[in-house]
Amino acid sequence: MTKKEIFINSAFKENSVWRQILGICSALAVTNLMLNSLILGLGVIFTLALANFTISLIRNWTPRSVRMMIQTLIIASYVIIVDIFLKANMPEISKQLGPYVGLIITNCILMGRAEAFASQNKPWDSLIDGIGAGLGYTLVLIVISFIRELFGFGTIFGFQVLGDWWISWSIMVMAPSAFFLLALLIWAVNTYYYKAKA
Amino acid sequence: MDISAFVLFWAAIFTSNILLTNFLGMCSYLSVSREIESAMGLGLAVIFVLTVTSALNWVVYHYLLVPFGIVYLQYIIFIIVIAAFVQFLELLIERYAPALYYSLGIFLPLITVNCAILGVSLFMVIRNYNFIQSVAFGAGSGIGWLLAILMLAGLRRKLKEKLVPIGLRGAGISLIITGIMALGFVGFSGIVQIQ
Amino acid sequence: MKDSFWYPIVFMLIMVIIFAGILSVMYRFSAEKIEALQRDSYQQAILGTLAKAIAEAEGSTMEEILAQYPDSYQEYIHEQSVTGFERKIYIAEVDGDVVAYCFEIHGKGLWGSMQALISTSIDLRTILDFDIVNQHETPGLGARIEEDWFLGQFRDRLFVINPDSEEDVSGSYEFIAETQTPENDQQLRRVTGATITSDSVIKMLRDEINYIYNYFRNNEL
Repeated sequence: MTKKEIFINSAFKENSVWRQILGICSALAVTNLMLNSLILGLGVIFTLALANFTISLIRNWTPRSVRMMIQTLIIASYVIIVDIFLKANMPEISKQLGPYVGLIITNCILMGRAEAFASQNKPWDSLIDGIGAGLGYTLVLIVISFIRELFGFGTIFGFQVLGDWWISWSIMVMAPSAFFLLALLIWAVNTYYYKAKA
Repeated sequence: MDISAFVLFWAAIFTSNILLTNFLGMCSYLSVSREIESAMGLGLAVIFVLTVTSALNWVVYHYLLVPFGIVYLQYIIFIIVIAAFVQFLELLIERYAPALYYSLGIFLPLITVNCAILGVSLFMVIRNYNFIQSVAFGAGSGIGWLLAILMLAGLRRKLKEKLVPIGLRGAGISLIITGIMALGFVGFSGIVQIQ
Repeated sequence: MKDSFWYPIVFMLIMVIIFAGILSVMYRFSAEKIEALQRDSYQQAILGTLAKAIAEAEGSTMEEILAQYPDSYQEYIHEQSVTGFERKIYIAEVDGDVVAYCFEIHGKGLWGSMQALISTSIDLRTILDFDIVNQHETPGLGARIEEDWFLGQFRDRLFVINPDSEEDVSGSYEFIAETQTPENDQQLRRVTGATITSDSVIKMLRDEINYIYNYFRNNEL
């Protein structure tokens, strides 16, 4: 596959969230504010790209029996590197991202891409695949958090958009709303993008 | 903390259900709930892994990470412990109970990436549980996870798929069902103090 | 070679050593910086709660005192430990006279513990300022207790209303919806959708101020 095909594949055709149903946990926790979604999304893109690249680099030396442990080790290491870097250089952002750092490590998307792609493909291809998957994931998060933040708080990225006349929808502030919104998103994508027919 | 382990155990199953209240462990929950038998198998394995790894990680945290000042490595160490234990469990089952091994199949390695497992270990650290509390919390969380996945599997079995719009079948309708269950569980929040 | 028994174990060990090594190096490299940042942030929070009192005594403004960090912290504030008293105390002194106290207090929220700083008048009855420094509540919901409008409700508040009481020196408080306006001093606006977290805050203040007031009723500060 060409690099472009790999990217389109991991970001859209085989999107981790709406197609493979991975990475759901964080999609629920983080999508109450667009800023949080963006921050987590960037963290995931970064970690995915590097982890995929590294796992692909050593794929020919990795024995089958410890494959998953090695993948976990590499993924976790990159997440911690991001965490330490943020704490030292961007403490405000680190405070926002704080609770979600752990979420990136167990984000099934990372393990999923590692198993599905990185362990069988070349390093640079895996890097592209990682970036694509991360972007696809971030896209889903942004869409859901856009609706949740707008109707739950009346703001977009913290900027007040709806005036005082707006009565916020409390359900949008609670996590279960993400379930419903994600279901609606999957429905829309299945109908219009994949043109699912009976 | 003076919360009795007994209370923690029940709270972890119902009022602070790891899946419906904390939203951890979603991925395998959504894909494996298609059949009740597989849901049961995976759930039981999760209970076992959660209980043992909570205990193991507690020991590792208090006797390795804290004394040596390497608490910042806790994510890595915890997840390696979990991955190693699951791997070890897989080898054991393959050797001594091959029938069970074949019926569990892919579900065993799936457990390693279950965010609920790491989540429970991290909660135990944040909330400063002692050993007994950690084990009780781990066991309760596992049972709570099993409860949630069985509920979804049961509902999906009863669901007449024909009535669901094509685009919503499978993941979509599962998410809506789970959302409604989660809303119900919101009513439990704060009933029992767990830290 | 890949199929031998020892290869996976050795491979695993080598990888762990490599990655743990990289992390340790990164950590040692940044540890000092992180600590300094955290200490600065904490001290600035303490200064924040005491700045108004210091400014009034010095005839300056709150903004000026805050702007002069770290010098203003060094000059006016020092930590005091009192044996038997289990909280950290920071004392603000101007020209030898104590102008205010700042205490680090703890409480339990819905998801985890919380830590806050309160500054009080020298008779320990009035809360001058209140700042939450650490909490684990739900982002966008319970975490909104850190917002200025919520914390501001406790600013310049006479909290010890029944100083002679043995059980509870504070008065009773009632929470009303965020969108309503308080009719009297006993009404406080809670965070919408975060009833338990809001209650936890008031409980923390009540418990902690009772502890502080009762301790120093009989002992010297």
